[in-house]
Amino acid sequence: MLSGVSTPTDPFSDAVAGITALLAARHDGLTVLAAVTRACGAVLDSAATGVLTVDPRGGVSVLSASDERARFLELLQAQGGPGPCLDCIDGNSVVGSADLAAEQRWPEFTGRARAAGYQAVYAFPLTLIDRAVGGVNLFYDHPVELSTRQARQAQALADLATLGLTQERDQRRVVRLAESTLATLNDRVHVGQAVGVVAATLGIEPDAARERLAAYSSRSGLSLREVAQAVTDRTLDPHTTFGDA
Amino acid sequence: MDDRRRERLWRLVSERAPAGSGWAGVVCAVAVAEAGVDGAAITVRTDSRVQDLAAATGGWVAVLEELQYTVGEGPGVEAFTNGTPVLVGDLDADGDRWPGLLDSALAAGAAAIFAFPLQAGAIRIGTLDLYRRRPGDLAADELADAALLAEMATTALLADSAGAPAGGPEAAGFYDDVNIATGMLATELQVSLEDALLRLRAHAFSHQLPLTEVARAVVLRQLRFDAPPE
Repeated sequence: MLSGVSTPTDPFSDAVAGITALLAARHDGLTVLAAVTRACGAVLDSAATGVLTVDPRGGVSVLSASDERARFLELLQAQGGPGPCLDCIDGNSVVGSADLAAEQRWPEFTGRARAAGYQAVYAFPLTLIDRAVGGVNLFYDHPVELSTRQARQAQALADLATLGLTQERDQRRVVRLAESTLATLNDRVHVGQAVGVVAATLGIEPDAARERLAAYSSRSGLSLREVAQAVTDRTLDPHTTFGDA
Repeated sequence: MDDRRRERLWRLVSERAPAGSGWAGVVCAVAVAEAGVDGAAITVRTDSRVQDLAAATGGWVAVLEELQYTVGEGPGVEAFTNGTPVLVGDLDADGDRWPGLLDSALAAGAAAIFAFPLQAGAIRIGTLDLYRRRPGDLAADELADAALLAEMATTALLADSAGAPAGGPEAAGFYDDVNIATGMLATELQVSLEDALLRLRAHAFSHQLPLTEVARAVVLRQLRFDAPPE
């Protein structure tokens, strides 16, 4: 009946089922993260795994680690500096090095990782409230190129971690997420309406109007949301603000 | 009992782990597979004027959601406003509460509609609407599944919003053209945005056209409205 159900012998679906059971029983986010960390080892054969968040002002919080020894935790802490995890957060996409011996991008991190016995590393983004805030980091003790399938599985596990954090018992986070969801919707509607107002006022195409709103936003330092709001409540005059000349 | 049900549904959802389409779409797909309905949609809304379609299992379901948006009434709107499920097992017999919706919804293929509010803490963020092509109430276990799926839909919406780096105001929404057309019309007719949206909806309703199609025609400047009399 359901085509998506895989056989119970597949380690990936076993892992997913286990994490799901935790989600279903409404365990807190950290319990779910610990299960995700274990699953990374079981499914993706990483020698060590760490889930962490990085504060742009410089703080690293290790949420979960497969290896609690100081050396590994220090290596995770070092991810607050230049390294795959920061790059993965910046680009909100997977960043990896299949062979650290040939790695040029992050000499300090690479040195530490190799000294700790790791030869390959991958970071998958952990996204919360509209942006990547951390990463699921996989460390390997041999060079390894992850297949597309493995990368997809790793990202699915990272997404489950996000889901775990989202349904955290912490109601404040849920409320904040709900507010941000609704604020995004409101902003989208306002930006669309502002695009229409500018397009009609200047007699230009909506796409061009959208570009002028975005250009004014980056020129003025106002967020797109603020610019749109000012246009729709008519405190910004499209002619003088967005017109030619 | 509920926990086992919840676990089974969560498992079904996770096994379809989103391949880019988002958790909301997965919850809708599981609803159709499990809750004995033919279509499911999740709409995120703040009121009848500000909403977007987060997921729908098919074109006909999107049409039905759009109809409720056009006329501003229906089970989804009512479930959101009152904060309680609205279960209509036979739309033909019981749908006269929503005179604007009834005929077009039946014509679009809906015979039964079940709408559930999505509640995140104290905040209501949208609805899960389930549709059947044939009349009939939800059986007890289908209703239990549906209620749990509404709870999961809330988590799904929040996770999608949290996990979407491109999900800011710049991202494309289902009703983008409606928003742009509203701004254009308000400017051209020198009316408020609310009035402009009302004109769009009224035009769609009276001409039996999808709201997004009317909006598209305005955006492409193929359709013009007369200014209101002074």
